[in-house]
Amino acid sequence: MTALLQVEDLHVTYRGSTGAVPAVRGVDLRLERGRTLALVGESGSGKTSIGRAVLGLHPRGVRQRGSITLDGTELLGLPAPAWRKIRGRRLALIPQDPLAGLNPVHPIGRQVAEVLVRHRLAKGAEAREQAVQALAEAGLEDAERRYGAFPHELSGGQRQRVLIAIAIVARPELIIADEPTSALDVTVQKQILDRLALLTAELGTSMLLITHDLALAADRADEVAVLADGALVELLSGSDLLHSARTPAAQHLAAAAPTLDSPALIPPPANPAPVETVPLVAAHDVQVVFPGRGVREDVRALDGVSLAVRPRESVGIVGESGSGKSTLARVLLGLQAPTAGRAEVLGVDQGRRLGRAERRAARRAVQPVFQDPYSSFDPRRTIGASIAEPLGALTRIGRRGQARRVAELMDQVRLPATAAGRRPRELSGGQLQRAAIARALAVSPQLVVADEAVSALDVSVQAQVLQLLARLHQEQDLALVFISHDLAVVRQVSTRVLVMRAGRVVEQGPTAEVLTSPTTEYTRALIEAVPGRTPTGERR
Amino acid sequence: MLRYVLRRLVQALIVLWGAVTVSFAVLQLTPGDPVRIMLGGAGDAAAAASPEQVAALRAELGLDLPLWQQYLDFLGRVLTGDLGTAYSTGQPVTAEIAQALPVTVELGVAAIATSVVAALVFALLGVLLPGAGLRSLFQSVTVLGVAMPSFWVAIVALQLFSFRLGWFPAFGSDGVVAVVLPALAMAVLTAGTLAQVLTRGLKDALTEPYADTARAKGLSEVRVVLGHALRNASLPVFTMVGMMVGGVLGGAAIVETIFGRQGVGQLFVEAVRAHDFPLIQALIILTGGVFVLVTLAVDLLYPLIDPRVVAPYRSGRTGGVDLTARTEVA
Amino acid sequence: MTGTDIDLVRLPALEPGAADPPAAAAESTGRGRFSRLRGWLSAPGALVSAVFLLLVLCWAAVPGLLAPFDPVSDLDSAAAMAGPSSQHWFGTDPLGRDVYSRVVHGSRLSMLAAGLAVTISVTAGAVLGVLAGYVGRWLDSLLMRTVDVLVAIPGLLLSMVVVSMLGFGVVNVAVAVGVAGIPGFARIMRAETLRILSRPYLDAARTSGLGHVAIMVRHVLPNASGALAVLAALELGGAILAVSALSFLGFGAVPPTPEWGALVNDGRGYIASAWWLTALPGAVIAATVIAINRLSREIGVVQR
Repeated sequence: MTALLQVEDLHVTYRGSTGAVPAVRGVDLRLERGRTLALVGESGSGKTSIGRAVLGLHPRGVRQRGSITLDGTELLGLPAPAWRKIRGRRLALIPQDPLAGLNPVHPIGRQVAEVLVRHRLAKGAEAREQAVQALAEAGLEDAERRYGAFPHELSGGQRQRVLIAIAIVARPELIIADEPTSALDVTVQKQILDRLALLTAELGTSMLLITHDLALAADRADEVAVLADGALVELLSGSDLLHSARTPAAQHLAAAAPTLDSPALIPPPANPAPVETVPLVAAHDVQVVFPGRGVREDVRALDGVSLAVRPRESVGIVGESGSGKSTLARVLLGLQAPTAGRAEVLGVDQGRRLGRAERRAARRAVQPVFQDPYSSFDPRRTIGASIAEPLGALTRIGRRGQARRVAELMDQVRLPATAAGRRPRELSGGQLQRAAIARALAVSPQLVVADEAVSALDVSVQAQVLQLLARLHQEQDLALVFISHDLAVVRQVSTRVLVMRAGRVVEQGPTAEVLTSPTTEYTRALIEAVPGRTPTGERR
Repeated sequence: MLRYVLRRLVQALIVLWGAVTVSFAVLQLTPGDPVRIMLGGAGDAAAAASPEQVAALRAELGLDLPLWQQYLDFLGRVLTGDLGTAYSTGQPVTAEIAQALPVTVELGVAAIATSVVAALVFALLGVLLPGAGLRSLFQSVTVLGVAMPSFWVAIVALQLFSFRLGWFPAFGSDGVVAVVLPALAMAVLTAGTLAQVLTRGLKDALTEPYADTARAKGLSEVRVVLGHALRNASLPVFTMVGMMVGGVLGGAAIVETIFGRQGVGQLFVEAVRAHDFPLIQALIILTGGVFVLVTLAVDLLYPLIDPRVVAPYRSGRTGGVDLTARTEVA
Repeated sequence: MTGTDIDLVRLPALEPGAADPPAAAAESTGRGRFSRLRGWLSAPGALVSAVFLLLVLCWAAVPGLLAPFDPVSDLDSAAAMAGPSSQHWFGTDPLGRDVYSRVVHGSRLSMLAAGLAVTISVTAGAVLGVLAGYVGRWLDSLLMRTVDVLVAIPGLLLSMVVVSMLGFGVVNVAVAVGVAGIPGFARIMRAETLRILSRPYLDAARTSGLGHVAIMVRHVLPNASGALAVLAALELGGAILAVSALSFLGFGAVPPTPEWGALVNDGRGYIASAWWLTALPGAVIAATVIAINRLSREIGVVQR
C-alpha cells in the first residue's frame, strides 16, 4: 500500500544575492494515513522549506527537485489549476502566527466558509452552517455568534482555533501544521494541541507537524524526523526522541532541549545570604499602570508586587504573556518608574530625586540582558564599542583600560577577540547574546536581570547561554533574576521562583518545592502544560 | 465608536482653527508693511502710495487695532462668512471664490477619478501579469508619473493633442471636452503616487502569512490578490486619496494657469501675483477647510474598510495576544 | 511550477524565528559592502542615473565650459526659432539664443535653489521632529498639531503663500519650498525618533548610564540618519519640481536669467510653433528628478 505522503530525495534551493542557497538537501519522508509525523530541527534545518514544498507554496525561482507524492499523485511540477483542486481540499495548512495568518479585514466566519465556496463543496447558508460547525469543532466557543467577528476581536488562542477550522472544514487528508502554537502561551498551547489531536484522531487525518520544540514533538508525534542543515539526521518514534536517539546530532539536540526533567544548572545555595542583608534590589508593593490613550483603557501591568533579591541569589520569574513579568524587570532595572509603591536598589529608594552618584551606583549594581539579541545592540556601533559603553559612562577607566577590559570580558563569555570590531548583524544570535552578557558584566554588577534572555535562541545555543550564566553565577557570585515564560528553562537556573499572573505574584518559593507541589491551581496548570514530562497523563 | 467619532471631530476642529490662525498670521508675519506691499504691487512703486491711501487700507484691514482685537475680529468674521473684499478686483472674496469653485471641482473630480482608476490598473497589472519583465515594466512606468513636472506634462499634452492632433480645445473651461486634457495632466502625478503606494502594499500583503493561508485554501493567485491582498493594500491608498482631494488645489494652480481655466487654482496664483492678502487668506481657509472635511470623511469611513481602528485594543503583533490570552486559562 | 507567482523580492528567511543565521552568511558580510557596490553599479538604471546626475552637476558647476554659447548675450537672430540641429541641440528661442546653453546655465540656479530648499526642510524638520519625539508631552502635542495644520495646506500653495509674504525671486522661492517641506520631515523624524527610542538597545544605553545628550548624539541621530538621507534625496527631486513650478508661474528667476522652470515658461507662448522651447527643458527636469529618485532608492538599499 502506498503511503499518503511520500517525499523522495527532495532538494529545495533558494536563489540568494550571493548565489544558490540550498535549504533542503535530499530528504526522504513517509507518512501513513491517520498518523502524525513531526519535523524537528533548529532554524536553518529546512523543516519549513519542506512544509512549503509539500503545499506548493514556494514562489517561482525556488528550485525544487525530487518527488513529493500525495496518495500516488506527483505534486512537484503540478500545474496551477490542478494545485488549486488539491490545496484546501486534500492538503491544508495551519500557519505559525495566529494574528498574521488571518486576514485582518474579513470576518472570521467568511474566511472559513471561503474554503467550501472555492471548492464548490457548499455555498450560502449551507457553507455558513458548515463553517460554524468547523469553528465549534476547533473549539471556538460561541461559534455561531462569533461568525461575524474580526480577527482582532479574538485572543491568540481563539485565532489559532479559527485557523484550525479553516484547515479542517473541507476534511482534508493531510494537515501541515507549521509551528502551530509557538506564538501562544503554554496553557493555551496545550489546549490547542489536545484539540488538534482529538480532531485528527476522529477524522482520521494525517498531520505533518513542524516544530522547533523537541519535547512537544515527542509528546505529540507518532514519528519524528530530526533535521539539520537541510538533511535528515534521524527518523525515530516520538517516544524515543528525548532519551533514545541513536545519532550524535539528534542526541545533542535532545540533550539541549529543556524539559522539567533536565538537570538544574545551579544547585540550591549552600549558605544563603541571611535575610537581614540589604537586598540588591527590592520592590515594595509596586504598581504600574499604563494610562490608556484615546479609546483604549488603562492597563494595570503590575498590581502590588513585592520582591527582594539578596546577594548571590538566583531568582526565577515565570508567567505567561500579560503577566507583568517584563514590566517588573524594567522596574528593577530603573527603566520604569512605579505608579505606586517603592523600588529600591542597595537599600536606596529609586523614587526620590537621586543625585548623580547615587544613580550611577544603582546602574553599576544592576545590569540587564534583553530578549532579542539583534535589537539590543545599536546596529551602527561595533560590538566592542557597545560593550565599552557602560565603562565610559559609569567608570573613570580610560580608553586603553576600556579596550583591555573589553578584551577580558569577551574572553570571559568565550567570544573571539575579532568580534569586537564587528557590527551586530555580522554575528549570530548566540554570539550577540554572549556580547550582551559581556556588556552587562562590564561594570562588575552584583545582579544581572535577564528578561527572556534565551527565548529567541535555538535550543543548542540556548543551552550554551544558560551554562554561561550559571558559570558566572557560581564563579563570580553574581546574583541573577531570570525571567521567562518557559518553566523548564527557569527551573534550570533558578533556586527560587515567583509565578506571576495578571500583574500579581500568585505563588513563590524554592523552585523544587513549587514545581513538585504547587499550591495554586494556576501553577499546576502551567506545569502540566509544559511538554515533554515523563509521567504524562495522556501520551498517545 | 462614538468616542472615535467625537475624537476625530475635535481633531478636525482644532486643525480648522489652526488653518484660520495661519491665515490670520500671514498678514502679521509678512516682513515689512503688508499694506505698502499691497498698494505697491511688486514693491518698487510702494513709495507712490499716498499716506491717505495707506491709512485707509490699514483701517479696512483692521491693522490699526491691537493684535488680540484683530484676531478676535478675524475669527468673528470667518465665523459669519465675511472674508472681506478682494483688493485686486474690488469684489467680495466669497463671490470670487464661489464663481471659481465649480470649475475646479469639475477638474478635481475628473482628475482624482482618473488617477484612482489608473493606479488600480497599473498596480494590479504590476503584480498579476505573467513574466517578471512585464510586471517590472508596469511598476517602473509609475516612477515616471511621479518625476515629471506637471506643468511640462500639461504643455506637452497641449502640444500633442490640441495643436498637432486637434482633438481637444487648448484653452477655456467650457464643456466636458475641455476638462479632459487638464484632468489627465493633473492625474499623471497623483496616479503615479497612488500606483506606487498600492503596488508596494500589494507586494507586502502577498508576503503576509494570511496570503499563504489563502493560497493554502486553494485560491488562485488572482483571487488571493483581489479577495485578500487588495483590500489590505488599499488602506493607505484610501487615506492618500483623501489627502489628494485637499491637494487638488495645488495641482490646479498650475494646470488651470496653463489651460486658462478660471478656477480656484488660477485665482490663487493671481492673488499671490497681486499680493492680494484678503483673497490669499480666504483661499488658505478654503483649502484648509476642504482638507479637514475630506480627511474627516475619510477617517469616519475608514472603519468600514478596516474594522481594527475602532477596536478598544489596537492589536499589535503580540499586544492582542497578551491582553486577552489569559481568559483562555481560566 | 506552483500557482504562486509573486516577486522574488521576498527571498527567504530560511526558517521563521531564525536567530542564528548560517555562519557562512555572517562571515561573508565583511565583503558585503563591496559586492553591494558592484551590485548596484551593474544595475543599468542606477548607473545611467548616476552618470546623468553627474553631468547635470557638472553643468551646474562649470556651465561656461560645457555650454557652446552664452545663455544671454549670444543672439543669433538669423537662426532664431530654429528647431534642434547639430549646432543648436535644443534649438533656438525667438531671440536666437541657444536653448541647450540656457538649460546648462539654468541648472546652476535650479540645483542651488533646490539644495537650499532641502537644507531648510531637513534641518528644521529634523530638529523639530527629534524634539517632539524625544521631549514628548506638551511639546510633542504642540509641534505635531502645528504640523497637522501646515499639512492641511497643499505644499505648492503653502510655498506660494510664503512667496507672497517674502516677495518674488529665486532665493525666496527656495526658502518657500524649504518651509513647505518642513512638516513632512518633522513627521518622519519624530516617527524615527520614537522608533529608535523604543528599541531595546536604547534601554541598554540607559542602563549603561548614558545621559540624554549622549543617547541623542550616539544612538538616536546616527540611526535616524539613514531614513533621513533617503528622504532628503527624494525631497531633492521634489524640490526641483517645486522650484521650477514656482518659477514657471513667474515667481522665481527674473528674465533673462536662465532657470529651468522659467525656461519652460518663456516657451509657453510658442507651444503651437516651437515645441522644443518647452518640451526639451521640461524633459531635462523630468530626467533629473527620475535619476535622483532612482539613486535615492539605491541609498535606501545601501543603508539597510
